[in-house]
Amino acid sequence: MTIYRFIFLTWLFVVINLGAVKAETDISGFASIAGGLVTNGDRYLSDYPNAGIYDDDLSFAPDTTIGLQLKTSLSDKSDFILQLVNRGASDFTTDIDWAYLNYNLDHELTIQAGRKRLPLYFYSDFFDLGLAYHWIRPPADNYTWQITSFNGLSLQYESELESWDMLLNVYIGREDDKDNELLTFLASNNPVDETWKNIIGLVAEFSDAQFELRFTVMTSQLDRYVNDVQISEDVDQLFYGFSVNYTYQQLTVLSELNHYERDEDDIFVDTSMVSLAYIIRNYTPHFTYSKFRQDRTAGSGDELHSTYSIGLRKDLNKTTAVKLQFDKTTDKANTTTIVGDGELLSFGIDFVF
Amino acid sequence: MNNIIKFKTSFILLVLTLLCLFITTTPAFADSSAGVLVSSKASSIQGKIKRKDLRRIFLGIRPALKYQVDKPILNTADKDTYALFLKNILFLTESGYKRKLIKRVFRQGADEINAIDSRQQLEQHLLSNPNDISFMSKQQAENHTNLKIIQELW
Repeated sequence: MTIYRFIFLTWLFVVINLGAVKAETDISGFASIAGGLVTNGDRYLSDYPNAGIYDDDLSFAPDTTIGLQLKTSLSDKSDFILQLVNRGASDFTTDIDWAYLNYNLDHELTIQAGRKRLPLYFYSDFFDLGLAYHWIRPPADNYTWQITSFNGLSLQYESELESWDMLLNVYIGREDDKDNELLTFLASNNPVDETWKNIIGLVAEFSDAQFELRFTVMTSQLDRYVNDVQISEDVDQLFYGFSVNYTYQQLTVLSELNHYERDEDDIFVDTSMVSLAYIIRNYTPHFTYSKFRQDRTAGSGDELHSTYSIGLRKDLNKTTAVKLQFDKTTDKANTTTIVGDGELLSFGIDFVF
Repeated sequence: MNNIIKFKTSFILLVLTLLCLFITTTPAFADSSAGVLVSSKASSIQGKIKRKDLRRIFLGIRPALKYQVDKPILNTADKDTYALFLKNILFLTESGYKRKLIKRVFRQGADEINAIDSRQQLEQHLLSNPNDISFMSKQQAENHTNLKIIQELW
């Protein structure tokens, strides 16, 4: 919490001191209010990073998120951006997901310093922004990463290549997470502290009117403590992924393939997802299949779960959508079952303001 | 036999009349569907904006040149013109554009792009904010004496 307090006080200091030079602050926000209950099975893990779990009682905590963004223009070329996010899955505590200084080197090149979401998967850096996708939440089998933000530097290049929009993002940084929510949950509530250091990553996005392609790669080293006892030190890890989205008139096809490995721990994970959606006036029915596979090796247990999802999104207006979704997860692991088989019925409303 | 000749003559006349109507109405149709970029007459925007930069401006991305433009305003009062703007300038569907804007605001801290869905309010806004830009049909723009046409878009 100390770092959050420091960032918030820094932002206040910047804004108050720039009052004299008429710094403008824009306030915007987003919210997803979602409820659901397990219709078959005992529990359902809908949000891995924050350990959001449904049971057979109606609950609004696992997928409810409210975010507030403050953007202060410091000069013609620089802004300070702060995003506070309150998640039901984290007992409605408020986290700082984004807090960075943005400086435009020219119209295509930007450097950012501070705290940002870690852009591993396609939806990683707008995971909480429900209005930007058709599901209640991105497919849980794919979005199983325990570190979601980092402190560091990013260099972004945004340009056009023939008829394609192009975004290249190179980033470096580190994240120290005390009592990591996902790992602590998986370790039967024994506190787990996780550090990802020497993070180096690259994201390349290309899009035109019909296609959206995204490549991502990240390497870093991992330290892990369970009950204050170090169990991993300087363990190299590698993540890479590829996404292709295709839109033709009212039809959208989304797909994502990712690979994660920690060679020293004998852990190799593949995740995949394919989703079809079709827009009919204000309605978007959709169907999704996602899968997580970690093969059993000499040094690690296996993990294997997949989910079929069917849902409907209705756009009420430009800033609001309501959603209904049914998920059926099958957990076929021999050694490491997460929460077992389960079926979940959930509904929600997403809006921005 | 006379009836057949009369029918043929009537048919040819009908076709010619329809052809004349089509030819004479085509320019008017083209003119009314043409789209233009507008600002207040009091704006300090000089010259044309490159299409690539115009697209960047309406996507909330910094353009290569500033062109004195303050903010872009989406004209959602005229659905047909908005659809043509999406197709001809942004090369995006409405849902794709909406998603892109939301992502840019909350992922990259871009400015929001405001939309105005009333013609009167749009004109009023442009007059009150001289360096803001928007788009509308050429016919509509020519009816607003307080607005200047920066350039034709399609």
